[in-house]
Amino acid sequence: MKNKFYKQSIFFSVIFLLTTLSAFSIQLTPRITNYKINADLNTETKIITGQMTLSWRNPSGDTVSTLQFHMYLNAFKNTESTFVKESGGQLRGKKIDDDDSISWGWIDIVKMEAEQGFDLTRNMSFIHPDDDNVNDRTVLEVALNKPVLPNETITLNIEFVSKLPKIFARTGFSNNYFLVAQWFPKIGVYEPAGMRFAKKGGWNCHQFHGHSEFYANFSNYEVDITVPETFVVGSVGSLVNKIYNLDGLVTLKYIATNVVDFAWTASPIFEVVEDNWNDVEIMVYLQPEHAYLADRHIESVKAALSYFDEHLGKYPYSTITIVDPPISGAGSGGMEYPTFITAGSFWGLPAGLRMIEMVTIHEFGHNYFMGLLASNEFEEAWLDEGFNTYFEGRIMDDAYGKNRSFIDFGKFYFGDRVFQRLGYTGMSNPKIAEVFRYAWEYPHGGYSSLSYNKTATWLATLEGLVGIETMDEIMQTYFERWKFKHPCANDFIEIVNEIVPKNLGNKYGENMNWFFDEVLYGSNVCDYKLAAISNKSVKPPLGILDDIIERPDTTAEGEKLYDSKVIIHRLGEVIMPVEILIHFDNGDEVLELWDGKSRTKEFSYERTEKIEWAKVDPNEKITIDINWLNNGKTLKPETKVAWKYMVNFLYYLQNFLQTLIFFA
Amino acid sequence: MKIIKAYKSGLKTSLNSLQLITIGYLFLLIPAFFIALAYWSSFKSAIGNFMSPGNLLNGFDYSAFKELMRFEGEKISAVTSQGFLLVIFYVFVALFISGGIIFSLNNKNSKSNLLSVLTGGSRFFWRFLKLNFYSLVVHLIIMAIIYLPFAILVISSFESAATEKSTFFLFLPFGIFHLIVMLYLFTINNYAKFALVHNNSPKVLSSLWTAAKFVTRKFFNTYSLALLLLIAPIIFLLGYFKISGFLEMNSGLMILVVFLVQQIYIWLRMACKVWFLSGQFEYYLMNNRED
Repeated sequence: MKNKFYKQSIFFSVIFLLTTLSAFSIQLTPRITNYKINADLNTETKIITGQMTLSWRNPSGDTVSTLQFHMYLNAFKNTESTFVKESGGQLRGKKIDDDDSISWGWIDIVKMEAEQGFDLTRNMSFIHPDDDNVNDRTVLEVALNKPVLPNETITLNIEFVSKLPKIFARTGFSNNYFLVAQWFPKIGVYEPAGMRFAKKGGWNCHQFHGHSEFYANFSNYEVDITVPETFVVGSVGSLVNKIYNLDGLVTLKYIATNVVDFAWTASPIFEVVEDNWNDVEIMVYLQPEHAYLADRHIESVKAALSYFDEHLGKYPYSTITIVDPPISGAGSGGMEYPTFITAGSFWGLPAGLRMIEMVTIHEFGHNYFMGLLASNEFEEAWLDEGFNTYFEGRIMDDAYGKNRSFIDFGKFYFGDRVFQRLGYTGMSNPKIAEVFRYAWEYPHGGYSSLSYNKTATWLATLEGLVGIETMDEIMQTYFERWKFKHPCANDFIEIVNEIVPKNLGNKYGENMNWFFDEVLYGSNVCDYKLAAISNKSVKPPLGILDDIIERPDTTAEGEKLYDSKVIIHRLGEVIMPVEILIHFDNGDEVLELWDGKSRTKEFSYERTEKIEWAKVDPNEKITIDINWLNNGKTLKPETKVAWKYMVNFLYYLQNFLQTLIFFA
Repeated sequence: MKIIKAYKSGLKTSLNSLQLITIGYLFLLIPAFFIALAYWSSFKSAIGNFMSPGNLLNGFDYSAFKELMRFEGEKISAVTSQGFLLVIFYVFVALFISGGIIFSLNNKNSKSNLLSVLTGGSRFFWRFLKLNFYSLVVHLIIMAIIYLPFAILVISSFESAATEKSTFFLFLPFGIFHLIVMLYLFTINNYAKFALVHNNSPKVLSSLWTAAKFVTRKFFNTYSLALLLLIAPIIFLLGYFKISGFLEMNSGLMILVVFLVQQIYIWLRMACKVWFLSGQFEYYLMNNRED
């Protein structure tokens, strides 16, 4: 035991030294914040006792006299918090257990000291910048004894106590499983004038909301976590030291650099499966009964790593940890933290239902959209969730096949991107709101359909318009320019407006602002309809034909000439340039381009062949069109489909009736 | 062994009752066909001249299907709701057919034909209706007895369960026990019907009680016979899944082929029903002769 202790100590000391040296030598971010935290988890009381040293550098030219902190565990303190009010005490089908006093969670700062030991504890007060909820305790403001001058760094020593809530959403405990997120006082983002939408310098520190929780500085974390030694711990960043204490506890030191958050997990029953992708260490923390599903997590995260590497940018961290919560803690599943995600699996889940893969790929993608491209989820959730959903669809289709990437059961199947599009186009009211709005301001359940699905769908439309190569160039430029920074809508649009004209000239005008006006800032819908096809035989002119100039007859003997027309209507308000494919009965095809602006458009042909069918947007580039059914029309409808469905309907009905006879 | 004899006799009777099986099959086909025809007409009208539903012929296109249902689904749903009404109506038709089949099996000397099915069905309809009602009540009571402790166990164990696997394995014995009890109740129900028809008895509750005593007394035999009689339909079901997995309905010819395979399967299911009833009836008669 002693020998093991010494060996481990030497091993981890070397790791710590190497990791610290390499981590602190790579400065990828402006290095505004550094955290050093000691956290003791009492697994019985579910309370974390923490000491934290925080250094914060004033990145602006302003003199800052107050600091603001996220105190997000207070969202779980009572039913009066903005989070519980917005969510109605339930999220993703999980409800808060308000009958049990241990269900509630909170965070208290016991002591806050500035340099030279100046006690700031009495200068703390809760504020509520997003609403008038005076009972919300999720944002704390501290008046400083001495303002922080431009580029000056302040160091604070903070003692805090965090009581974890019983999991119903995102964070907390369930029996002996702990998913510890939003657990320490995290400083807000001070936005200097000109950063994102800031007209003057100020804190951007939102309350904890039902639909958003991420916006923070890139920071370095050095965290010591103490738990009973029977617990298996996983965390953001890398484990660099492990010390067995004499009291049956173990202290694990983790280091994470250039990340926007720090979360961790602990449970005595985790089974850990490890693998590698290039130089990235993959660790999956599974419930023992789910251990056989480890490969599904690993293969999907490898698919994501590989795809992002090829199409967006290099994953800059050395680890990725995937946590599979127990069923009673399922509310903490499907969450994202830098280098650390929670997925979720289901015992007996068939391979054809790719929920594990979809969630794993999606949550991993947040390492890019939110983790590296650290947009403000509160103010522009679509820039995080929507972009990530778009990439999730691309990765799923690439890894598992376009038509079968999400559901693949024999004769019933569909792809992830199809599912995403229908999530938007199938809304009862797709005009309910524009995408560009604060996360908590989406009305009547529109948040996920608009910020996730509509955004992913209009990005797919952009891809359809500009082509996959240009789209990749846009996304790669966005990544390279804004990784480890805080981009906003304007930054992305600026890149689109730079690259599209460069690659495609004036095909879509001087810039693509019109596109964003429609899909991002507007709530209108796009719907083009192929209204009519007609073929009328051209008759010789009748009447007094003295001064009529006869057209030369180009038809062969016995051939008829047809005046054929295709009429297209624009039913929606959104204008998109569209292609129309016209198919003639001899197999000839004509592809027309239309700017899509007028309410109706007619294409006429005088040919010896008749039009057989025509289709608006034949390659399904305009995914944002809410009705593809009316895009195509044929004069020879496929009647066999009706027979196919009739025969199957008859069979299932007979079977049902027969079952009644069997039991009667 | 009596059960083997009954099993074989059931098979022989069903092989000799092709007309009876076909009548039963037609009782299934005709009403369902009319609804299906209306379904075909509404589906065809919903498709109209649209192109994307054409993608549903060669494989499956979820977007095309969802959008067809979303924008034109009202035409189709009107027919599917008629199908639902037919199912409700058929609960009573099924009782009628059962009465007709058992009546025909009871009159071995006269040929099974439409008239015998109609006669038996109408004569025993109300008695079978009452019998099934009583059986249903008993079944519901037993279900409550089985699943109440299960629910209590699930609620108490859920908080500590790591995964859904333990809940599944908690359910498994209850589920299996329920299936065993269900087959037992189903067997009693059948023997009660035999008693009603064979004795032309008006006493439904008394027949049910007699059948319960009979099945319980000869539990091993009656249960084994029921299990034995289930083998053929399960084989047919697996065979159908195997065959239909290979068949793609992507052309007129293939649609016709699948239609024929499906109808053969439906006919075989009806044959199994006759086999099941005649096998059990034979066993009932053997024991009645002895008594």
